[in-house]
Amino acid sequence: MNKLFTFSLGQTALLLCLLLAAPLSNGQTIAFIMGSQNGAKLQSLDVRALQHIFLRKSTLNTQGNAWIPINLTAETPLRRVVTQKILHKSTSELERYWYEMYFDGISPPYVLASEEAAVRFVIDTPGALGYVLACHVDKRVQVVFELEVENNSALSCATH
Amino acid sequence: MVILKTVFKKLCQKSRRAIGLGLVALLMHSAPIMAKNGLEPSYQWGRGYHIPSQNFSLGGYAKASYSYFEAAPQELALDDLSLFIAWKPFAHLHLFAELELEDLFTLDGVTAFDESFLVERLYADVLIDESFKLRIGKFLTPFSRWNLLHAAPLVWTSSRPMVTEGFVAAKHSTGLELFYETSLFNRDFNVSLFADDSKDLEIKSNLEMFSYAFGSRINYQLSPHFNIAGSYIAHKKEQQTSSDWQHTVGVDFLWQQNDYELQFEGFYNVRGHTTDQYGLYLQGVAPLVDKLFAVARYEYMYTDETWSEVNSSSKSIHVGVVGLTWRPKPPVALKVEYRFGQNNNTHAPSGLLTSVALFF
Repeated sequence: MNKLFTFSLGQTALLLCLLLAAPLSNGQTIAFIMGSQNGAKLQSLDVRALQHIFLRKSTLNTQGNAWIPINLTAETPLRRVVTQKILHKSTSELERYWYEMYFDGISPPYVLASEEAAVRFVIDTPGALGYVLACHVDKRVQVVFELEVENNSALSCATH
Repeated sequence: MVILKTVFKKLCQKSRRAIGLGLVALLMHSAPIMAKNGLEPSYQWGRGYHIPSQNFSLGGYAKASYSYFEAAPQELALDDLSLFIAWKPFAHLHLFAELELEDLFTLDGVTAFDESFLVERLYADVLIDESFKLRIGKFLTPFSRWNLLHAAPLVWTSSRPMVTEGFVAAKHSTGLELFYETSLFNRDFNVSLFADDSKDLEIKSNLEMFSYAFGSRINYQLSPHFNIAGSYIAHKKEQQTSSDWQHTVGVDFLWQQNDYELQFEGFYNVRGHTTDQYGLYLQGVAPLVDKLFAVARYEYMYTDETWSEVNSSSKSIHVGVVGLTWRPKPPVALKVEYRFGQNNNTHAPSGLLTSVALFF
């Protein structure tokens, strides 16, 4: 019985590994981007730093310049993923949070209509920080953080 | 206490020049925020009017209420009409003002503009670096969580808990506030220190304001849904008769998850030769059906006899509030509540309170 059990466990583990590996291999990457102004290498960021920047808790970067975070429109699947994975807040929690900030004269990030608009904006604006699918990154921008997410059919490289 | 006051005044005088020079140097090296191509001025209901190219925004909120008290005259009023003005001309500088018309219209008629007009807040935030910020001007006293977010569309009841009414710690301070924001065990950890000199700086004085005060508040995010804070204030107030400094400590917490909420505040106030005061409130919020919430609050305060009913021998005030809040759209809140209690007629009279509030 024991031998049979060990064998089954090994098989199960193998199967699990294969199942877990499958979505990872098909995962997608969201790139947080800034303009390559002057070609200078920009600081890398982590999830916590991004959370603070997009919640406007952190307004200055280490060089003393203003952060200008850029969001996509609320119905964009990419924004929904970023809200869930970076901000860790539900829609109602986020709504309430921004009204509290409004009371202190602080506005949410500016909203742009497309990933291409976000790319153009960060290129032109020092301190601007946006996000696009990694497949939309080109030489004009620098990637300061990559967020790996599970495969999501709504996140398509076909749209830009 | 005399020594404390002298040291406080000397520190204020010496630091004024140094702070002024430091700020000028910081702003001279602060880059103006770059123009934002492709972003047009826009208005969004509940979020105000924004001019991105100038980093300027204009907004505000309004509150109208009707209250029927069991042992006091009924009240109908446009309680608050507040205007927010925010401008960020440099990366290191954020200017903010909240101008308010308070009780502009009541059952007694229209209040004179100069009586109704208040500068609620007027300050400059100087961002020193990623972690430090210095606020100069008139701001909300960082003592009570409710006080810091008291806008009518944000809070759950028409009435304000007694302990946050400014009888102990004044609602506003005028002076300096230093903020330090960092992470502790990967959670937000915020400290603020403030010094108030309202006696010399406040233009429109009132009995409840501080003469002088200093203090601190520490807030720690125990989890993404749970914040806890402690505050301390040493102060003298315009209305007090003795020359003693008062010392007040406060604790508060806020838990929010899945539209449920629990909020607590408590304080203990020591006033030298007179009786100590203390009080608390605990408020719970639960969602009922879509956008309709049930609210319940218990308040307790132990204080002077002058606070409670004239003929009462008790110094304890108990207040209960039960109500409903409907938020049909995010910027709007319609509230109805019933307030009751013991020895509460002077400061929190029993009755039905209703209000409508909105950000614009």
